[in-house]
Amino acid sequence: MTGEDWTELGLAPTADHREIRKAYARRLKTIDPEADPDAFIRLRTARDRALSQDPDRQFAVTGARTDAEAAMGVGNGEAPDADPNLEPAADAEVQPAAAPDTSEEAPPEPVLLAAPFQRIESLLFDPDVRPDPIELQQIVTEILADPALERIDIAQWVEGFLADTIVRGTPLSDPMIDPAAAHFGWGQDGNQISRPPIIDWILQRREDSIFEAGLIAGSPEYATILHALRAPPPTQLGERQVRRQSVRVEYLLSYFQTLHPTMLATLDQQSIQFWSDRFVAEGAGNGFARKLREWEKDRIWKRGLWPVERRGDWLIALCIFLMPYLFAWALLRPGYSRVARFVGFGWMILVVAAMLTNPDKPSELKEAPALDLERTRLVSSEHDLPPLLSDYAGPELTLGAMKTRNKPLHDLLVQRWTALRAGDRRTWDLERSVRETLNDALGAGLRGGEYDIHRRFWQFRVDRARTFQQEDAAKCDAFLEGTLPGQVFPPEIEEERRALVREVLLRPLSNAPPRRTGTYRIPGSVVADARALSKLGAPRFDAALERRGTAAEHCAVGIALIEAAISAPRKVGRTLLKDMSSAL
Amino acid sequence: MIVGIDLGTTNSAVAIWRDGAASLIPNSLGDVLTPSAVSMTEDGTILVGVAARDRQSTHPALTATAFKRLMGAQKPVMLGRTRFSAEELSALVLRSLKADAEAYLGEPVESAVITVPAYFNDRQRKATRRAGELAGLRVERLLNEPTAAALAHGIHQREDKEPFLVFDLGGGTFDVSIVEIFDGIIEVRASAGDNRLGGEDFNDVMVELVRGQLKGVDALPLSNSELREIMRAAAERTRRGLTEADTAPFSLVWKGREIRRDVRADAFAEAAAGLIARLREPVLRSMRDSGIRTEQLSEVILVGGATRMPIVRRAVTRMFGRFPNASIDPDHAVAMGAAVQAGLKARDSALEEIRLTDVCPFTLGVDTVEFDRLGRMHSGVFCPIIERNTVIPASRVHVFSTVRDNQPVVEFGVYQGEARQVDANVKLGQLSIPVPPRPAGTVRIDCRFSYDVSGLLEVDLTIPETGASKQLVICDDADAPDDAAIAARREVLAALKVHPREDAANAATLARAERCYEAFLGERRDHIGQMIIGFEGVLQKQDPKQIKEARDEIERQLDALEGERFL
Repeated sequence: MTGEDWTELGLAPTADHREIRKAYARRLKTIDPEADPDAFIRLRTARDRALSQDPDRQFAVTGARTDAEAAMGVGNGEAPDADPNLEPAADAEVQPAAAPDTSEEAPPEPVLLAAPFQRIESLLFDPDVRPDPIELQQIVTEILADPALERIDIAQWVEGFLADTIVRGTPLSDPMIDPAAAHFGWGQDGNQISRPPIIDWILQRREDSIFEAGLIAGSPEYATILHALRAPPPTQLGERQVRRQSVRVEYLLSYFQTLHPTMLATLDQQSIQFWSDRFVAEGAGNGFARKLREWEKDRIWKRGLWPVERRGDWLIALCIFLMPYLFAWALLRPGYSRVARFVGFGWMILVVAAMLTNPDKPSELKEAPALDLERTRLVSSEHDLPPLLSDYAGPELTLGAMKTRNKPLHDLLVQRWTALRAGDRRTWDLERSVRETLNDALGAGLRGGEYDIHRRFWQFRVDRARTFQQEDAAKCDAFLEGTLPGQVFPPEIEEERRALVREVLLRPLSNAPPRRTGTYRIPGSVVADARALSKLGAPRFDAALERRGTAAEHCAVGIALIEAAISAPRKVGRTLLKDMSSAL
Repeated sequence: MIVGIDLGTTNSAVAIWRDGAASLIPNSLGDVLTPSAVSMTEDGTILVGVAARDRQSTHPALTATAFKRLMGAQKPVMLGRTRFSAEELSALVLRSLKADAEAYLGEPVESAVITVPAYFNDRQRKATRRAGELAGLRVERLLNEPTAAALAHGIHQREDKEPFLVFDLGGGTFDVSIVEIFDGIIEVRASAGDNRLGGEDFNDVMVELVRGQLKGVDALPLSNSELREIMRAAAERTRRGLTEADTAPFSLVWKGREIRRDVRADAFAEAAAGLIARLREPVLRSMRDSGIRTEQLSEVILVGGATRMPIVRRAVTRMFGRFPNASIDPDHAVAMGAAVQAGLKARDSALEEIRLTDVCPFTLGVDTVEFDRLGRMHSGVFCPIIERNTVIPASRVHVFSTVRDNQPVVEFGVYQGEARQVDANVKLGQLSIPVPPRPAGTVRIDCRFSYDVSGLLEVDLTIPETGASKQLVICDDADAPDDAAIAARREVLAALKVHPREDAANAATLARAERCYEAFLGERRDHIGQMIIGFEGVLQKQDPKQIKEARDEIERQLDALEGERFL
């Protein structure tokens, strides 16, 4: 959003939706889009930019996993309990309208039964209930056959619910994919461009679940590893067992990452973390251990995922089996010296031992595509770093921009890259390292930033808290306290977040104060403002300040405090926000 | 004078913006709707309108209807021995409307705003524009039909209106648009549709339904084109009958036998369930694209004659949980909206505070080569450049590069659609540009798509490196006639003998009488036959008063026989 855009709109910078649209309307009446399309395009771009930086837009979030964006129509797969109009009534049937019109009856309001949805939730998420794939499929088919789905809003809600549940409940939810996809036409051709990413994910999951079935049936070795990865991390296993498994686990994980990414979502995250740390630890060991590991890695990679078939060459096997006996019989006959017998038996034992420990020759690999190790190697910093930066804060965060505007950070990233390259690490190691570096830089930048950065950041936190507040006050409270795990940002806020992150990361930092947790003083005037803003009575406000109220009250108080701090006069607000940011 | 014209599949209309309101212009028969039908008489004269439509049953080989579905395709239509293209037939209809407007307004009409379905692709739009030019009209603007309907509804309110949905089910096409009015700006948020879904398809379903019940001697084969037309006309009548009652008769006369079956509304509803289900998809798509939920819609507006069907109304009610709004006659809304746009173009002072912005309903892009995460190369991948529901006029640039070293030329296929593989999309044209020899991926080519308000596309390719910037205009593989060719064809059309306007009423009555003659048997047939002979005799006399009396009498008698003539 540039100054030119505001000039174009003829408006002072504002976050008010209505003002922006009014200004757009005013300006539009002065130009003729047909005669001067460029002018119209400029005006329209200015309007779009102005509207998208506006935090007033409400957007619900599903709480789905990080990969899956909630983009199914607006209200975008809204969390099931958020919308009062569509709350499925318990065991209610179709109800006619309460007050008929004077001329004709209003159309009947169909209502969905709640029981099937609750059953799905319990089948997937309740640890006491045994998941039954056939029942799941049946329930989904039942839901989809409900005539209430003729209503568009109900159909959209159900679609959002199913998509969201499938993503959250993977892999147990795999049987649900087929009936839902068939009914809603998810996999239909001719519509892929604007398909929401969550649907893409689900379709990919369907392919991957077929692969998973094949893996479990065809490769017992890796099937066990897959099951182990779905369980909590193996802290009880001995060191030797872990070491033995480690290379195979690494192979399986990188196989998934490259070819079947949705499989990663079905694994236990802590297990993955455990193993990732393990890989790093093993990679940092002494030279000999590393060499051994590399050798084993090549061997496992070449071998592939599927077990090898024994070649049924019975004749040769028989001969080899019989050979020692022939040998022994020959040697035990009179005429051989003791040395000869010693050598003979020794040789025989050696042959038998070799036969028993020699790995079988691999037969033709079963249709597993060759995983190219080359692809995961680091190529060059200009090649590897930009996609990671773009993942972190959008494509506008380019390496070049960072080089010109925040050279120390740029150099630090390149340094990390060089170190990993020297150790012949892979792309996933680089990802982790870059992310950590950027997180640290972001924290430092926020701590040491200027007043305007602080204000933006805390405004952003308020917006985010508000979206939580609408869903679930407990989540909002946890978010403000900093204890909410695994956050996903809805697209609008995500753009805001990215813009803020870019702003911070592209600003050179002179001094980064260290992280400091602890209490700080909030000026009385700010507290008074907050009390007024929160609209709770003074006693409840004070109680909530001391964490003695309900979650909703804590949440409201937290938001009110931040807002009061942001709108406080500069002298006061500056120090306060700085204090608040010192814990980031 | 700029007029607004609704060029529909079944019916067309022309309207004008005058004295702060839109009003429809009646044709020579006094009707505001003119059927989009063209027929040729034995001596080569062209008939347009009701007369032509009635001749559809009696002389199907000499008549053409529903040619809007053929616009943009290169299929010719034969009227007798003469070959016409869909554009030329549309031009004949437009010419007739132009003549009606000039007669009504008393001044020449040279420009028009013509409506097209929102989901018409680039080719079809260009064909519509050519049809207008062939009729001697300067086409000021092509306006999307649902947008026109929204204009007609929205023009009455100057205060803000929450988003509303326009549900336009016409004779041959189905369009859905979501429109918002804010501060006098009428803004289309999203558009979607189905070019192969309309009242005609419901006629086909009706025909199939009845044919299934007829067996043996009564069986009606589809192979005979004349019989097909008769069945279609009968199905249309039955469909209309079902709007008013729960059962309606399907009756026709074929080979001297009268066949009559009663069709029940619920049987028809069951047979048409597949078509009704197809109505959902564009609605869902436009709602998803605009990001608007059903509870945010202020109302649902029905446009198009086919929305009179009870099954359609019920389906819409069930979809949205509320009754739709049909306060403006569904057949008139589009033409009135076109008149409003004409007024806007003419900068009428009453409309100064209004602006309209529309969107393009398709994604436009080119085919590219893509590398996947394993490094494999895929060709024929669709790269969108203008996403669908972008506000128009729009202009977007995308940077491309070469794939091979020293590649001499880069070919761009321009496609429109939503599939990821270009084979599944509609190809609009082909462009190529020579590039300097360089290693792969080092030459930069800028490809700019410009989409104007009428929904017509221009593609520009430039190579910044060489400094040379070439402007290439997209060109159909099929012919794109230049001005000279268009002028020549216009001459040809002008040379066609068109039935004089003053006589249109007589021609219509005669055609109707002939159709009824074929449709009845026995005594009634004889009676009609005599009336026809009598009327032809009166026509010879050339006495206007007598002719009018005779005409009214015949119409009265025919009304008594078959019910009122419908449009």
